[in-house]
Amino acid sequence: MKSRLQQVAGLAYECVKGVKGKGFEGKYASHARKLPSMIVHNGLLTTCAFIRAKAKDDGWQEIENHIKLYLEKMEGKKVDSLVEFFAGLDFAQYRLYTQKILYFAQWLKRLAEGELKYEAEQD
Amino acid sequence: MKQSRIKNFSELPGGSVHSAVKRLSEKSRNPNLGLLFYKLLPFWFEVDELERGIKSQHSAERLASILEKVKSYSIRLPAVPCQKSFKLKTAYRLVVGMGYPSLLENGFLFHHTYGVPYIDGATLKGLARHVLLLSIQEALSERLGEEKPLSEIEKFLLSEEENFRKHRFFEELRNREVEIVLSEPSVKFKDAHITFRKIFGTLEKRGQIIFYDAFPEKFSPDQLELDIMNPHYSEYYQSKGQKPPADWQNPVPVKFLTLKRGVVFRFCLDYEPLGEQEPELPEYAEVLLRTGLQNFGVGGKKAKGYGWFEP
Repeated sequence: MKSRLQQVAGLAYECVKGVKGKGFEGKYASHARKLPSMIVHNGLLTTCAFIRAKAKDDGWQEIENHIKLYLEKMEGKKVDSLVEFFAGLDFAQYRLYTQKILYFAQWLKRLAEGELKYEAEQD
Repeated sequence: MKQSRIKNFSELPGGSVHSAVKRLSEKSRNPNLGLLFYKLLPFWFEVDELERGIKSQHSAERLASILEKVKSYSIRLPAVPCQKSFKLKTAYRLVVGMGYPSLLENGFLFHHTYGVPYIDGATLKGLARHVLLLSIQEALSERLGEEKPLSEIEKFLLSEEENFRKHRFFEELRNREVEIVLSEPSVKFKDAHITFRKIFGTLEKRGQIIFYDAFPEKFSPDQLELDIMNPHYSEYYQSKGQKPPADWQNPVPVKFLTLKRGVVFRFCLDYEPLGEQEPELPEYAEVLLRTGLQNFGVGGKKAKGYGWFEP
């Protein structure tokens, strides 16, 4: 039986490995690096809305997919729209999910830093 | 109407996080603008218009309309007791913290607790340090007859005590006066290299002066305004020069938040509590900081004249 930490780290590793070698690798890496600080600073809902607004960028799109994948694999929730899902939670749930997604995001960041090539940030 | 205070999360109005915050934030008459700007702006939108609304233009417009509503209040921050304090007025718009993550394309620095714009103390220290560094470079170049790069001078100034005294620049500067560049009226420091180490510290020893965060003396939301930048050749920049910067490209207006001209900031300097208290140091630091603020400015878009101060 795997611990929760192992499961989350394993999932994050799968996600990051899937990005490797793709065209948006650099973009994904620099976005993943920003993700935890964005969640802390702007809140989970705002961050997800921001990601949606930027979804024509492949890197952001992939990050959104990975958050959805996390919800599906770890929480058993199949979610179409992150924004709608998080907006509809009550406070206790919202705070819990913020902690969980933040933890996952920190793994994504850590692994992306180790595994992926960066692209110099444009904005 | 009496507003009751909410003590913990479980007392918040029921329903979803979104609808509860929306109701609460619409009621609040003097919101913490930092909280509003960083975290609560999306709650002014309905869930189904969120995606569209979050695109910078829409949320900027929403922000402007909220600012209209809350204009009336003002915060006067108490003066901090310190060795040296002085006031300067912004001579043009000021924007600090543009790189901060934010829902709008560009960030803005609000104090986490007070919700007012401020200038980070480290920024001010860096500015003052830069002024003295430039002045020393100027003096050295004149004496040696050749331009020395800033990095070399900085290395000398930060070196260990023993190497510092042995360095050839040390003798060049000893007992001589260094004119502070752009200072008005002109100010000269004796032994500027030693003063530099005292005020700003080295790798081994911390500086003897604290640069506090600078706050507006009085803040009211109507001191904020939306500004716009309008890159005409976005495709040219995005493709890193692959596509020509031609006139058939559409300009992309990007709105961002700024502080208006004419806001008075108070700058405070004090002794480092564990350091020696040499009375001339705060005065030196003030000269450097003033010179820096009036000639170089702080924050973003300095090249376009943002962020500089007048007395």
